[in-house]
Amino acid sequence: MKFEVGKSYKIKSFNDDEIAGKLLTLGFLPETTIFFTRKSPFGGAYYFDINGIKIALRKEEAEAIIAV
Amino acid sequence: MSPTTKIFKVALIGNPNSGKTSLFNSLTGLHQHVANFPGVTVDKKIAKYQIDNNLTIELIDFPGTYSLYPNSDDEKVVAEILSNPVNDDYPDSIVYVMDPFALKREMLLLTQLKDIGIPIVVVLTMKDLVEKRKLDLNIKKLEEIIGNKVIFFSNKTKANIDEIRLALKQSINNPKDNQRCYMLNSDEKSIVATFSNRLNFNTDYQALLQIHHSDWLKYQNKYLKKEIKEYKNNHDFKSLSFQINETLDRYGFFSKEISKIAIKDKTKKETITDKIDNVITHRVLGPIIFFIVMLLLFQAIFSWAELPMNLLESGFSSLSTFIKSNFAESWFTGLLADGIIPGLAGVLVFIPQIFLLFLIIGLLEEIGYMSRVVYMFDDLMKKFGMNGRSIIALISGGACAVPAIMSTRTINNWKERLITIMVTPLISCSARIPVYTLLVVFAVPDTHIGVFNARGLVLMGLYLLGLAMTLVSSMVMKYIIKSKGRSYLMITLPEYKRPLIKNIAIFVKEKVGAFVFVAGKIILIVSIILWFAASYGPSGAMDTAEKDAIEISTGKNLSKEEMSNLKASERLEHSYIGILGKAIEPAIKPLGFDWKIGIALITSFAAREVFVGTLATIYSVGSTDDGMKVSEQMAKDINIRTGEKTYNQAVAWSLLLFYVFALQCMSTIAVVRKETNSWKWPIIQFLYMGFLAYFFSFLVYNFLN
Ligand SMILES: Nc1nc2c(ncn2[C@@H]2O[C@H](COP(=O)(O)OP(=O)(O)O)[C@@H](O)[C@H]2O)c(=O)[nH]1
Repeated sequence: MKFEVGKSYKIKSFNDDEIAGKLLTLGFLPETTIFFTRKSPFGGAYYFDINGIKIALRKEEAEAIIAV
Repeated sequence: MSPTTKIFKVALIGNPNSGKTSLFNSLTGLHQHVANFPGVTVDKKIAKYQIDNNLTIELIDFPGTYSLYPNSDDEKVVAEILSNPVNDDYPDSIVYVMDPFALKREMLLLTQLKDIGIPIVVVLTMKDLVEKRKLDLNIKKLEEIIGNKVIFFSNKTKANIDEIRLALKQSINNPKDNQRCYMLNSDEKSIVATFSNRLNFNTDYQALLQIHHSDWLKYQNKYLKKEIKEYKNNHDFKSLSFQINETLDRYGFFSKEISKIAIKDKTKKETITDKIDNVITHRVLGPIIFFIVMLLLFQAIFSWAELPMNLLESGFSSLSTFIKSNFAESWFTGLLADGIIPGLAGVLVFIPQIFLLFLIIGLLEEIGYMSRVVYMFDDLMKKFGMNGRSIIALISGGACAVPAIMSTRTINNWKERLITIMVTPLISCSARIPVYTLLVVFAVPDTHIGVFNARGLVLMGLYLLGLAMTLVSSMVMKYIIKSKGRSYLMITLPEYKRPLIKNIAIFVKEKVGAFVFVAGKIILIVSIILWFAASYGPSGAMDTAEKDAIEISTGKNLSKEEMSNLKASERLEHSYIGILGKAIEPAIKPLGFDWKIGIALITSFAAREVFVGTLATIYSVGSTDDGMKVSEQMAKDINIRTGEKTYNQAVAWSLLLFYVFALQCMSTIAVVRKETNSWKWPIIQFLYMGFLAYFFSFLVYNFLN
C-alpha cells in the first residue's frame, strides 16, 4: 500500500511472502507501529522508524506492507 | 600442545550492528587474519584466542545476520554452517552478540540458535552507552527470560573481559545444552521424519533448515535435493509460509516479557540521531552534504598523500641507484634495480592514498554515515543496474580499482555486484594521473579559459568522461546481464556513535594489507617478466645494437651519461619487448601510435604509471621518472616517415582517451578473476574496455588529424 510521509502506521499483514519473510526478521511485525520519517532524495527509498530503530526500505519493499 | 589436541571453535554470531566486529576486535586485537569461507567470497575473520595456559580456541567472526533464513550470500554462510554438524567450521560454542537497544528483534536469532543445540554465551554490548545515558536495563530479568547467563560488556572500556573469557572456558569444558524454543508443526515433523535417515543432524531444527534451504545448500547432493523438491510439491509443503509462521511463533516466545524490560521507547522524543538525520538525510541538503564530504575526501587523498608518495618514490629510486652503483653488474642486480624495485615501488607509492581513503571510509562507516549514503542513493544507482552500496566501490575506484572491487562484497545481489565490478575500473584511478599530466602537455596549450587553466579543465574533463562512461556502461549491462534472484535494500541505519578507534585501525590495516598483497604479488610477477623481455633479445641483436650505440656516441662525442642512455634505448629497441612493440605497430597505427608507444602500452600493464618510466627509457633520458624531461624529449621526437612530430596534438589526445578507457592493469584483472571466480568476466571486461579505448582513440585521432 501507499504511505504518507510524517504518519504512523500499524502493520496488519503483507502482500508478498518473500518480502514478508525478510521484513519480519528486521522487526516489521504485525501490530507494530512504524513511523514513515522521510523519502530519499530521488523518492525511491523510504526511511522508517520502528520504536527508535531506523530502517530504510525500497518503495516496492514498503508497498508490500499492509497497515492502517 | 600435542597435534591430536582438538582446537575448539567458537563462532561470533549476531545481528548486523550488534557490536560483533567490535567484540571480535576487543578479544583478539591485531592478531586476526582474513580468509574466505569455502567456495564463496565472503570474508572469514579468524583469530587464535588464548583463554588460559591450557586452552586456546579459534574464534571465527561470522557474517552479521538477522535470522537463519538468509537474504544474501554473507548470511547464507551462517545457515550453511550451522545447519550442518559435519562442516569444518561447525562451532563447539557460540558467542551471541546483542545490542541492548534492539533486544526484541535479536530474540529471533537467539531462539533459532538455541534450537540448533550448540552451547551459547550471550554478550550484550554497549554497556558504556547505557550507563552514560543513565538508562534502565534489568540484566537479571533478561537472564531469567532467555534462560542464559548474560554478560554485559563495553567494547569501549573492556572492563569485564575476564567474564567473557571465563564463560567461554565453561561453555567448552562443561557444555550446557539450551532449552528448545520452537516446536515443529505436524507437516514439518513428517517431512523431517521422511528424510531423517538421509540427513546428518543433531537437532530436528537443523534437519528442518536443511529441508527449507535444500535448493541452495552446497553440501546436499543433487539426488536428495530432487527428492526433497518432489516431496514438497507432492505434499504441498510451502517452505516460505512455514518460515513466516515459525518466525512469528518465535517472536511470540519472548517478546511480551522483553517489552517489559527493554530500554524505553524513544519514539516520542527526538533523539540525537533523529536530529542529525533531519539534516544529513534531508532530501535536498543530504546530497549537497554528501558532495562536500566527497570533495574533502578527494582533497585529502590527493593533497595529503602527495608528500609521503614523493618520499616513497625518491626512496625507491635512490635504492635502485644505490644497488646499481654498489654491487657488481650482473643480471641479478639489473633485475633487482630495474625490474623488481621499480615494480614494487609502483604499488607501494599508492599506499598513502589507499591508507587515507580507507581511513576516511572506515571513519564514515564507524560513525554510521555510510549506511545513510546507501539509503540516499540506492534508487539512483538502481537506475544504472547497481545498488546503493555500489557508491562506496565507485568512490574507492577514484584511488584504485583493486580495493574498490574487493569492497563490492557487501552487495548482496549478484547482478548488481557484477555490474559494479565491471564498471569500477572506468573511474579514473590515481595511477592514471602521471599519464594524464604527461600527455596533457602535448594535447592542450598552456592557456587560460577565464580564470581556469586549460590543462586543468581538460584533466577534470577526463575524469568526468570516465565517470560518464561508467554510468553508460552500467546502464547497458543492466539490460544484458541476467539477474539471479531479487534484490533488496532493507538496511538498518544505526544510531550515530562516536567511533571506536581500534575498529578503524583494524579496518584500515586489513584493507591496505589486502591491496599490497593482491597488487604486490601481480606486479612482482609482471615486472620480472617485463624486465627479462626488456633486457634480452634474439641472440646477437642486442649486442649489435649496443655496439652501434657506442659508435654513434664516440662519433658524436657524447658524454658518458648520454652514451649510456643511448645504449639503454638502443638495447630496448632490439629486445623482445621492442620486437613485440614493433609487431603490434600495425594494430595501433590507426590510433596514431608508433612502436615506441606500443612498448610503453605493453609495459604499462604492470601498472599504468609505468608508461611514463618506459617512455623515459625509450627517449634515452635514463631511468629518471621526471615528467618534464620526458616531455621535452618527446616533444623533439620526429616521425621518420612523415617528418612531423610524433607527439602532435592528435596523438596526445588519442593516447589520453586510450588511457581513460583501457583496462591497462594486471592487478585489476587478477582481482576481478578472484572476486567473480571465473575468467569469463575479466576477459569480457578487458575486451569491452579495450574496444571503447580503441574506438574513441581512433575517432579523436582521425578527427584531429
Ligand atoms: N560506545 C560503544 N560503541 C560500540 C560498542 N560496541 C560496538 N559499538 C559501536 O557500534 C557500531 C557497530 O559495531 P560493529 O562492531 O561494527 O557491529 P557489527 O555490525 O555487529 O560488526 C560501531 O560504530 C561500534 O563502534 C560498545 O560497547 N560501546
